[in-house]
Amino acid sequence: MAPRRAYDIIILANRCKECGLCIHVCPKKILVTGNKQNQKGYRVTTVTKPSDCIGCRLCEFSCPDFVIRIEPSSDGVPKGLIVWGENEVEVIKD
Amino acid sequence: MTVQVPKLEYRHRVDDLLRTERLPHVWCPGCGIGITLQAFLRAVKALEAKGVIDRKQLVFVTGIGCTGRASGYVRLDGAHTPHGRPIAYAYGVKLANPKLVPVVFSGDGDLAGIGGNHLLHAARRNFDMLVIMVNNFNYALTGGQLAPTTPHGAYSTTTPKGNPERPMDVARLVAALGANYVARWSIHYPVHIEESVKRALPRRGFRFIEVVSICPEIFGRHIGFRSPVDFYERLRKVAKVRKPKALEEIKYDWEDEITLGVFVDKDEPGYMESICQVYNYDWCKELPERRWSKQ
Amino acid sequence: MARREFLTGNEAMAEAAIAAGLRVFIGYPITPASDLFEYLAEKLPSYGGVVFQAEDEIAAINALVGATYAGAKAMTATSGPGFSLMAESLGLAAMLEAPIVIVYNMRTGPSTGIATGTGQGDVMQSRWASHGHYGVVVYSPWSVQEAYNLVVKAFDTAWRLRVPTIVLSDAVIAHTRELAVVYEPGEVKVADRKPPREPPGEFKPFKPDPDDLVPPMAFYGEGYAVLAESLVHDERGYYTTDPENYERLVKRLEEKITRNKHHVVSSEARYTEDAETVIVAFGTLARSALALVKDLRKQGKKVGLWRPVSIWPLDEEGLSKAVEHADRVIVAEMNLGQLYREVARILGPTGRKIELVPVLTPELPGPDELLGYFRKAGVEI
Repeated sequence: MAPRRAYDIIILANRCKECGLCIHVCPKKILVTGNKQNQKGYRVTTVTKPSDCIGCRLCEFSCPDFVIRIEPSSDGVPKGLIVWGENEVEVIKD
Repeated sequence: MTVQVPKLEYRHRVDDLLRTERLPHVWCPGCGIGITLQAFLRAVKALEAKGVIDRKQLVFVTGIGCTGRASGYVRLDGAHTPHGRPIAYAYGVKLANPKLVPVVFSGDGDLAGIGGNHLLHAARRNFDMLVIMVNNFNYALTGGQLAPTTPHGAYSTTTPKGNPERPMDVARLVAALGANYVARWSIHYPVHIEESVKRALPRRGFRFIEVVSICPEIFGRHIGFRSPVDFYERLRKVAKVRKPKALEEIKYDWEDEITLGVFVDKDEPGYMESICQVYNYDWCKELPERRWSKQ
Repeated sequence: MARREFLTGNEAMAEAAIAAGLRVFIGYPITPASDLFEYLAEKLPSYGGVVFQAEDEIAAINALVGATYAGAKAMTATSGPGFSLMAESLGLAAMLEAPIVIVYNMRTGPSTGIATGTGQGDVMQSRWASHGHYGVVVYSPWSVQEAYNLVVKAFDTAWRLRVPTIVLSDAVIAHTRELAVVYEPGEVKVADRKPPREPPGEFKPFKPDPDDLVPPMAFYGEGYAVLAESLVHDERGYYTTDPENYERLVKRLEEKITRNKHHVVSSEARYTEDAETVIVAFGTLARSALALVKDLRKQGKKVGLWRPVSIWPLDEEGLSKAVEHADRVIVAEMNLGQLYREVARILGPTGRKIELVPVLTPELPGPDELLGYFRKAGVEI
């Protein structure tokens, strides 16, 4: 069996409204409500175990707020990238 | 761990089609309009990548209501028109410059309520435009009043004892009027919405896609849902994909089934080609619809 | 080549629109405007233009606005009941600065009224039909030839100022046949849009030029991602509730007409040089009024006529000049006093006696009948 591909889960934090749909639709249940609030006071979705991501993009497609983007990992390492500002990116690895 | 990442651009896949300086948008947490809009924009990008359309051809017209606000976020030519009138506005766009492709993106109250007459006649004429109707069951922007699509018995701010009226099955109605393409999806099927747009956008005649959505903050609270996920799951129970053999089999019943699927998929000449059969305009040869037709 | 033709007002106005470069006509049948539509349905396609019968007047005016944004000279023709339905999106056209042209053939109102009768009851409605404060330009012809000229002028005004422009005609002109000189496309002068001067990304669709307050216009399909925003918007077309922006926008929608009024206002004065009494009348009623003035002159009475051609805005200087030697001004109109209010507003402070002669009839009166309405109103002349 081919090794599972690695994905980057990119989350544009300041657009998130904490609706929970991404968390609900994720088949691998790797998304959770985070503790950190964005500029609007919403607790932004975060990633627990990026290596479990199968790249189905259901979270991306089901997000009403243009927050999430799933990409094949740029460096082969599965990770969550929470973008808090233009130059401020939180990196989450397993 | 937080790191400084200069110059690295993290953007959404459809950000180049959005007026990103205006985000976050006005829609409530969990609102399905954004899901529908994203599916539309993904389809535009996919069609553009294949060379089927050019974004400069598109004119994105909306009416009034929550869904009507979409034109303010989409980086395309467009208009935010008075309540119920986006289809009427789109007529003029197409007649004035037949190379343009009008896309009407609006709500159920706007298109099927106050704008119902335009919807009927645009479908009857098979007028060349794509209409995407986000059905959120109520007039949400004004606070949750009764809509033509509100389920029988449902509470709204203007039917506090429950809706005594029968709702309108808009997709079935438009199918009955002879539109070239009619599909209904719910927000549980974002890929299907995208595929429908990819099929319906480069096509002649009247194309109609209804997206049954959730309105968690306004309608959802009235009918007892505590979260977007509760509403989402309840709608999933009745939203059933089927291939109906006749229009009569299409259902719009909140207690039983809201039928999803592609109800009409045909390729008859649209309005613009029809007038070209009578008059030989210069632009007739350059109609994008002519290029897209199967004949 | 200019040619002389024996045309009804409706036919002449249709010819004028063709000469002015009409590309899209959108109509809905209504008396007394249907035959203008029918004439264009026969003729416009051979000039490359499209004629479309909308499902109602609401669709017609919204489609008209969309057509102008897509780059076409566009027009509709209607009467009172249809114009009432257009009211909301007349405001849209003003807000979006869409250069639409409306031929408005007045008939007898209110409500369905007398569909085949004439009227002048829509002076105020032509100006204030839609909600909020906005600017429109309204012209009123008194003959078939002038109806022709004013439709051409209406296209020029609409495109020069990006303002909805109305030709307030009536049932009499619509169906009266007179000789008129008409032209072919390219033989009359009509303004075009000012094209955008900045590239896409920098161009702001509602940023006015400081001199004339009119924003250059980018058409759909040119790559400018123009948002035609019906909400109160800033120069980019983005919705905003900012009070200063609101004040700037609403003032400009009106000011761009007043600042450019040398392009807009017009009026005609007859026998006013020594007139002690000036009759004010517009449209076809002014023809009867002129005949009456001539009759009264024969009796040695120093009476003159002042006739506004632009109703909104009025040629206030022209009016003031016409009444220079008059101590009496009599406004005769086919309603209970609409133009009268404007005349009273302008001349009231001068201390002149301003009287009203309401002419409530579905048929245009001749000079003798008109004199009868003077007597009925207790206005001796």
